[in-house]
Amino acid sequence: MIEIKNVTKKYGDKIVLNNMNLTIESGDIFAFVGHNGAGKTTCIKCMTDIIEFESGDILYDGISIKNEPLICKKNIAYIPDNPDLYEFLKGIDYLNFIADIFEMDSSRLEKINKYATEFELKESLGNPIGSYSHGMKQKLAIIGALIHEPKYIILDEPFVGLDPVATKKLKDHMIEMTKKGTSIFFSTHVLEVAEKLCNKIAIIKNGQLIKTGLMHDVLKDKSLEDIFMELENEKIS
Amino acid sequence: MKKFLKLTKINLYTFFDIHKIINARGFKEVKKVLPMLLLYIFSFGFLMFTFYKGIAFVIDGLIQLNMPYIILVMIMVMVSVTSALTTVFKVNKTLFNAKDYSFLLSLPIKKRTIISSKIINLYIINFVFAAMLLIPTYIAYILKVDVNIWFHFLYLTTFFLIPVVPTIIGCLIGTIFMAIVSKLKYKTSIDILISILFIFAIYYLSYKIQSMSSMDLANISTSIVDKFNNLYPLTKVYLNIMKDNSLFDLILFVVLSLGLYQAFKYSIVKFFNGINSKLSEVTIVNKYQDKDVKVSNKLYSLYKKEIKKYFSSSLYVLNTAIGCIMLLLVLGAFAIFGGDTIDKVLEMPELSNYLVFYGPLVFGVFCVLSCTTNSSISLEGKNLWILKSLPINIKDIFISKVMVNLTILLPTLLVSSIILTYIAKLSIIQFIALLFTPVMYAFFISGFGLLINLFFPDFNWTNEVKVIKQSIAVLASLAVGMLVAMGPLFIKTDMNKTLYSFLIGVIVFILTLILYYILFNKGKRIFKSL
Repeated sequence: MIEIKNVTKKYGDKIVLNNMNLTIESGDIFAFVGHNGAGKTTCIKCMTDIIEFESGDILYDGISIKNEPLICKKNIAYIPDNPDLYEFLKGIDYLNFIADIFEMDSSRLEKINKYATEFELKESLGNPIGSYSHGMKQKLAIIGALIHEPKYIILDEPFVGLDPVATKKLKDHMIEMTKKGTSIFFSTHVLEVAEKLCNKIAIIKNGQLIKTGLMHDVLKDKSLEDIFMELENEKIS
Repeated sequence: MKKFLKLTKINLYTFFDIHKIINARGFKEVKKVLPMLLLYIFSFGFLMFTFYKGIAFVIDGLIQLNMPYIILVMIMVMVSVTSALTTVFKVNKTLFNAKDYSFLLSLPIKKRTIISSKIINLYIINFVFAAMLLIPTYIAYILKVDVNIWFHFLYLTTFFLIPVVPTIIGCLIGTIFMAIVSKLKYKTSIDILISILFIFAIYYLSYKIQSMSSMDLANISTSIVDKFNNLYPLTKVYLNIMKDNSLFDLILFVVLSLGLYQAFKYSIVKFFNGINSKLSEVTIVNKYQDKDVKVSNKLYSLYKKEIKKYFSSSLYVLNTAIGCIMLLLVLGAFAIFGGDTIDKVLEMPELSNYLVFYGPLVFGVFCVLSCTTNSSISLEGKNLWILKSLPINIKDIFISKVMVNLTILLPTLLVSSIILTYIAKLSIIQFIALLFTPVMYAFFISGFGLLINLFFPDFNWTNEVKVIKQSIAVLASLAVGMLVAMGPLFIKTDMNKTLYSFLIGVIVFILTLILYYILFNKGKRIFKSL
């Protein structure tokens, strides 16, 4: 379980996350939506210890990422919105590096081959990442995130740049992994995907959560797009 | 013209971090920028003052010989050769292979305008560094030599023009390199190799020029000018301008500078796209096989990643390893081909004492010049999220970066010490004294470079030249490193040289322990906040 407790993050004097509270249970596929600049990426970066936050805490199974970052991060996989990977490494070098950091044994071979084949990247693993397209880098980042079987997967716009086959594969893996107890938290602007794939949702605006809960409770008989637009207009009026 | 000025402005704002300074609003932002600005001012001021003192000293000597103008020629040649040489290595990633290349070509801007802005960018960088020598020269000269009003006008005009021709020569040689490299499979390795050969060719050429003929003492000033003119053909033109106030030579200097710039700009357009496209082609090295999947421990994996990063950039390698390569080659060549010279050296009284004292200090200077860590944090650039989001102990990240520097330094120091011990027939204790202090320097500068880069990181670079060669972290580590390496020269003592050398080593060892304590505590906190 991930618990975000009273998290506040500021950039200078600007409050980007304002006293945020959220719980992601084991087996959840949690969608995180909001307009550009709402605070989604900042929240995700706080959750993955990429940036520090002023107050509050984020707990993974009760362990604080502030106090025990290494223990928490051993169970986390993160994919950023823009897969800036080490362009001087070959694809396989990057996966070896990730597997080494997560202290995987030689069983990594089977997993690398499995995911690389599924995401149609096996033929390119011997090439430098610098030669990859955006979509290929995204696929490599996804393979790197999946091979060590994390307990928590945190993704920032994971479907951007992926081809339809890879998108379907990723969605299938997300569903399959949550059945085994993995928690998945991802930001997206593709509301249809969020609506179909996720059991829970949080909508953020100007650093504050304006709606959160089970997907069907939030939607009732409306579409996510309608709900999102209503909430946006409400706040404006 | 508007587009050209706009492009040049953006390039320079990014390169010199001007946008950070002028956009700083409020106390907090100014507080962030201020140390960087002060350190820049201090570093440049300190270097210019040191140059001024040295130049003034030389002028005094030249006044005795009744030829003070020789200093103007000397500095002009020094600035020109250095500018040309450094430009050769900046062409890759600035003129060609630049990160903004595709973006700029997609905009409605003429290719010639893009090229011009890149050349001017290189010129201005050279000009800033030339000014560090030309301004102290001007001040020292007008204070010590009686000059007429024309001198000020001529000096000022040529002041702006001196870096033009060397920039174009550097661009031309760099372009030829890039054209060759772009056609080859292993681009980075070949680039490193060609560049090293080129540097050796330049050194060999200047050595040959020095030994071409003996000095004609009766006509010493002509002799000196001739030698400089052999190295840089515009020397005599410049001398005529400054010494004889020759208007004709001034016009020739202006026409040559601007003409070369225009000619290069127009002719390079033809090859620009071809070279750029070839350079951006990535060679498919080999097909992935199961045996490529290898298990390593965390630290070794981090080290492998760092060493691959190091060797992936020819600029990074050339900027940090060339000193070590030259030290090894010079010592090796001396040991093998020294012959009579070695015999003469061996006859020097107190030779072993001198070697044991000065050897470690010289090796220390090489350690400072070969620091890889002072840009290693900045070079993470947009990849920093990987290290920060993974379960890696920050201490391991630091150790892996230090290990890369030690991989270059320690073998160099060991082999150099063995060669010197062999040549000078030193004892085992003297060998240990020769090796101990430089090894301490190596640990010190590797940690110091890293710490200073943590204090002054730059992740928003578009050209790695900026963080590898001209960042504040690089300048500061160079200044402090030199102070630590050269410091013992200024302390007078009657102590036994071997013992004194050990004592220096022990002091550097204690400094290194303190430094690493700071790095693993304060440094870790800084890294977390990046």
